[in-house]
Amino acid sequence: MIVIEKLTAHSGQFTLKDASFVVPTGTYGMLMGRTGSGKTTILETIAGLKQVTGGRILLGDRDVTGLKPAERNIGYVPQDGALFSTMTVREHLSFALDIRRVSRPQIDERVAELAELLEIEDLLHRLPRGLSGGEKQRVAIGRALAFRPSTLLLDEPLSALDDDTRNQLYSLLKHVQEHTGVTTLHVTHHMYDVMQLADKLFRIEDGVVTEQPVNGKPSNRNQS
Amino acid sequence: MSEPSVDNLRRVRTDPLFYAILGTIGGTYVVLIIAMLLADAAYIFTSDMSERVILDFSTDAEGKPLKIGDVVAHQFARYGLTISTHDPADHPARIIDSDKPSAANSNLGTPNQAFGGAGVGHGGDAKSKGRNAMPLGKILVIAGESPTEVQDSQRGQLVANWVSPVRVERVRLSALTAGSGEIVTYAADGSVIKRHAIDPPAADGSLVAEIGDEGVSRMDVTTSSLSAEAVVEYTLAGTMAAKLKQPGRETIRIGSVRVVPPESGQLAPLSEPGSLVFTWQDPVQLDDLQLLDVNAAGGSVVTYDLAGAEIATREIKSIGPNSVQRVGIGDPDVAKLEVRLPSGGAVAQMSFTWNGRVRDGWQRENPGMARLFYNPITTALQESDIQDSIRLTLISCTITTILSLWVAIPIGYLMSRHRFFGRDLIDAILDIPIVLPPLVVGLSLLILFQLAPVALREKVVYQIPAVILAQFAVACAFAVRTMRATFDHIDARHEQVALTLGCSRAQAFGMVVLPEAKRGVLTAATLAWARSLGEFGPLLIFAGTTRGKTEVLSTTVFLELNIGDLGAAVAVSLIMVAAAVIVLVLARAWGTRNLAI
Repeated sequence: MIVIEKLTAHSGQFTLKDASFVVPTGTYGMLMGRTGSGKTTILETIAGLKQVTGGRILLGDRDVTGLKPAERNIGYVPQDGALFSTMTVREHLSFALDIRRVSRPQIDERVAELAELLEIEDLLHRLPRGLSGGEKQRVAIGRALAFRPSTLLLDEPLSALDDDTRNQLYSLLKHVQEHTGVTTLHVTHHMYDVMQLADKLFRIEDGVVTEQPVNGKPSNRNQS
Repeated sequence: MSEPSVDNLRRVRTDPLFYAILGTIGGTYVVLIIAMLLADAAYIFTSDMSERVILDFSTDAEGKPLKIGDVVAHQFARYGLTISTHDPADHPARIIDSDKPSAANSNLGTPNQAFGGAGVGHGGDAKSKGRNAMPLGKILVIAGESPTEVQDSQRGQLVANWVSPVRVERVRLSALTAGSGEIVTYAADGSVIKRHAIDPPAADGSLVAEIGDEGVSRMDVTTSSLSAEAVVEYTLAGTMAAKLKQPGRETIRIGSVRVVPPESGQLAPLSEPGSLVFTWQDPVQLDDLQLLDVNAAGGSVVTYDLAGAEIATREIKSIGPNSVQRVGIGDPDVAKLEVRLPSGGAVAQMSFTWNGRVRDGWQRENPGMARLFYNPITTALQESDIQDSIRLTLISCTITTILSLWVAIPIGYLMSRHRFFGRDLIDAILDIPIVLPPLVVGLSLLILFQLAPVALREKVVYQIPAVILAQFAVACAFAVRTMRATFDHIDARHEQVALTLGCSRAQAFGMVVLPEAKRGVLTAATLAWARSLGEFGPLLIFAGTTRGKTEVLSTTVFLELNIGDLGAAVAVSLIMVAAAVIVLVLARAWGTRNLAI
């Protein structure tokens, strides 16, 4: 569960004021807004990359407002993936586990599992440079999921993709979410994404977040 | 207005005049760069490497002094020259010192009395052909009868000269060991005014000789004593006194002069016909000879080529004792020289022009190919000073590079990623070494270390640490700029993702940012290295240009130019060009090309 309570943050000219919303555990929340409306700022505050000036962030029943990014147990996929250019796909998938000093066999097992889930078994030895947009997103998602975070933050993962790839990733994201049960917050500016993926929808406008009904889906599916 | 059509664009792209102008203006610079380097290379491969050598027998080819009585044979092997005589076993070529004539050879080369020396003979005559006005120092003779030591008469002389004639009142002598001798005063025209015999000294070895001669411009004190010190009391007269604005006469003491007894054991030269033989492994151009004291007829100088055929024979005139004569030769390709002396005499000096090295037969026949293996660069590389300089350059540039990276990576990262108070000021400060005149950098360092404790200052200033510090002061600024541009080009998202994946700040930097900055680090390193290589201004002031101590390649160029060795300067420059080009190529191969520096 992601609970945002009266969150206030600044980013350049932009100010987010008293934003509150809840993404229940295991649901796929989506945050919509125009470019520059503060979507990314919200994700960064949740991930701990940006300081908040007021309010609280709770993940499950943990108040993470003051915690370092490393302590929040969040998988973060920034726009365009931000893959590490010097690392192979395998190294991306094992990175978070290496940091946590997980044993080599366990890492290998987890990498194999993720590669299968994301259908990137053939890419493990490759560097990011030669990957397509869709492949890059899969690797970035895999990297974020490797340490089994409770929360997954996706920042417009589909915006730069062609229609075919986008459709493939819809089913992949659905599959991943069903398979892992990770609480997801996905930022987008495409209504089509929302129709394909959202359990819950939030709209941000002028620094104010409001919940909106999702067409054709009960707004509280999977809520526990 | 309509959009520019493809046809219009194409016309611009192929406008020959426009591109000819652009190409001409820009190409001028490219041509200049290439022409400079080609000129250096052409100089190296065409410069005249032959070298005029003047042997005056004071030192051997390596600069070590030759001593009286030394047998001369292979001391000049560096020139491929061997010296011998007609009978090297019994009458070898030996060194004697003409400035310290023995009793038997008081006319041997030392300037004679007319010129302030001890020598006597025709050469002393100011009007004679073979005038001998300059001391000739060590000379080469054919050793005479026996190598037994010849006991010398212990005669010494001190000479006082005055620009303006004086009245000599008295001479106070001290430290005398024996009594006999005389004091002779001369007038300005060289004529003797009076000879005064020296009386036996008192028990303490002192003696006062009353002179009282007017118009003295020179005075000789000759004594058989082993040592002597003299204080001359004299008065200036006439115009000199008037100029000093001291009316009348006054007594002035000149400093004491020590009489050095002549070296004992001088060998007598051979007094019968004989010859000195000079043999060159690789033929040289023989320029001239200075012969001394040839006072009999029948002498000659004969030159031979490599095959042993005679080139020319030149007669030596007999011009009397203690006289010098120059024998001009000018023969190219001389492999052997025979100086046939009729009766005694010596070679005081010889000059020849050699190729700068001893060539073997193949090199003589293939001068073009030999040039590839033997040119100012290969010569420079063989010199120990330059080898030391290259070594110090490589070491100092490498240390400077490591230090620069050590500093530039943290500063570059901080400046690229963080906003903090005073950041713009620090940014400006970091550019100062780039815009500051190099000499000012050196001077500032020097002044800074004037404030340091003496112990530290002595360890740094004009020492090797100063070389590194001076290079670092400038090179680091370039490394900082490069690193900053590198970090600016790495998306900060990468570290952010690493942080969410569980990294600390340090881990994110070490595991994600630094590997991505690898190319930038290499570029910064090569730039810092190349920059250090070329550094000179700060070194000149802060580290000094001491040969073999704080000498790096840029210093070597400066030093070689200073001593007029253009070939070596160009050779070392080309070594630096090669090093810089290698570094440049490495930077191009590894480094990022699009850094905004």
